[in-house]
Amino acid sequence: MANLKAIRQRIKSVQNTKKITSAMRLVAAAKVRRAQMRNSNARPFTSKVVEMLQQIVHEVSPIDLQDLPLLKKRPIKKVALIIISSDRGLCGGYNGNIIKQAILRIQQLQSEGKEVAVIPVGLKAAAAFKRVKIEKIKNYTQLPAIPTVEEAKMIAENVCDLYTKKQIDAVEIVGTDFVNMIRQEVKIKNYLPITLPEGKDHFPKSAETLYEPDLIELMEEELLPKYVENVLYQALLEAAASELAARMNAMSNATTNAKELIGSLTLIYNKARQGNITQELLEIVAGAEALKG
Amino acid sequence: MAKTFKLKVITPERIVFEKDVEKLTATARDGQLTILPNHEPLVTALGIDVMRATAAGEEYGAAIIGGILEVGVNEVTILTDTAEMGIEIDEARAKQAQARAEAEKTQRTDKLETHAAELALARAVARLRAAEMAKTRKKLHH
Repeated sequence: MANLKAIRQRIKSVQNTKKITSAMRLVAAAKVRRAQMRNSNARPFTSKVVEMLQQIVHEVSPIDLQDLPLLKKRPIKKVALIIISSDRGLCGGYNGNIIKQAILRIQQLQSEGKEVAVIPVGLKAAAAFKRVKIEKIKNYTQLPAIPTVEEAKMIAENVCDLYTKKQIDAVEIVGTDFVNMIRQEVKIKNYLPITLPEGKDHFPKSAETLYEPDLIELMEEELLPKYVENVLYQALLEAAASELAARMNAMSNATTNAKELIGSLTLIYNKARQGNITQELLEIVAGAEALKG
Repeated sequence: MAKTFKLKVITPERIVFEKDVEKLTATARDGQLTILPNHEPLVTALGIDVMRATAAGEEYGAAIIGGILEVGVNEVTILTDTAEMGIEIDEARAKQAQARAEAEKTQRTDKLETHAAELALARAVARLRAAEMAKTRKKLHH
């Protein structure tokens, strides 16, 4: 009988877990839709900035631009990796994949003889690199769940500052791209120095564009900082959507597993119950037989 | 020749304003400028101020906190970190921000901090003016 009670308790506990996982799935599903919307709302800004840069590249000779600090390439001695993870777990392989890719990239860069420093974003990356012997420039953890431009600006300004001071010679972003609800891919993107898009004339037939106060100042103070900020903002948005999608999938799997487990436990429970009844019957019959003598 | 041009105000978060307009007045870093249809291509940095646009006889106001203005072929785009339409602005909050910034400006002695306070003040004033414009427009309509 003790066995039956244990199984009953086990079923109860799995049922409770199932309740939690299916609730988490629903929450993540609702949030991921909003995150996707934010992604698409952010797109017009990005494409406009890229368009403006294309126009400038088309109209201006590269020599005029090459002195801008964020565009200037120099021999790479030290690379910084911005690793975008999440603050919270329970999202399947999301953080694991990011950290795995980041470590592979670090090893690759080190084997090329370059120094590597990391900038973990999110508690999970910070925790993963805490005990690793590698330079950490700065941790960005506990950022708001919905990324805003402010955080992107903060991180971007910090990184650009280090770059212009020549403390680092290149920056790459390790983040997750939201492909669709089921697939999220870890991507490593070059961040600094900025690679300008190909030149393209968006207003053919019109006069040459006027730049006020002047082009270099405009690039240095407005366009490039905006571009850099925006790339990071996009990466944060993609990462947020991916995290939610990953969590939704993980929780959906957990709910299915719980359902299966409850099914097989119920089967075992019923078998045990039947066994008990059969045995009792046997005992009664045997007892009756014995009395008959 | 076209009589209107498309005006778009875009922030990283969303498109704040998108309409065919007849006239746009904004404040660039080095002074106010008005753009009418068929303006020649131009890219300029914006200051912190209100922008006014006239579309179908109606005037729209928005607070623009810095950014870039690009004039293309019958298409004007303003890219900025923060833009708020006059009707969206909470006037009471903007007033509070103005009072706070003014108080800070007089208290601070550090150059950088005074500068920050001045910027905050400019933002508050721009938002108040945009809100004011939205209010007067409402009155005219009723």
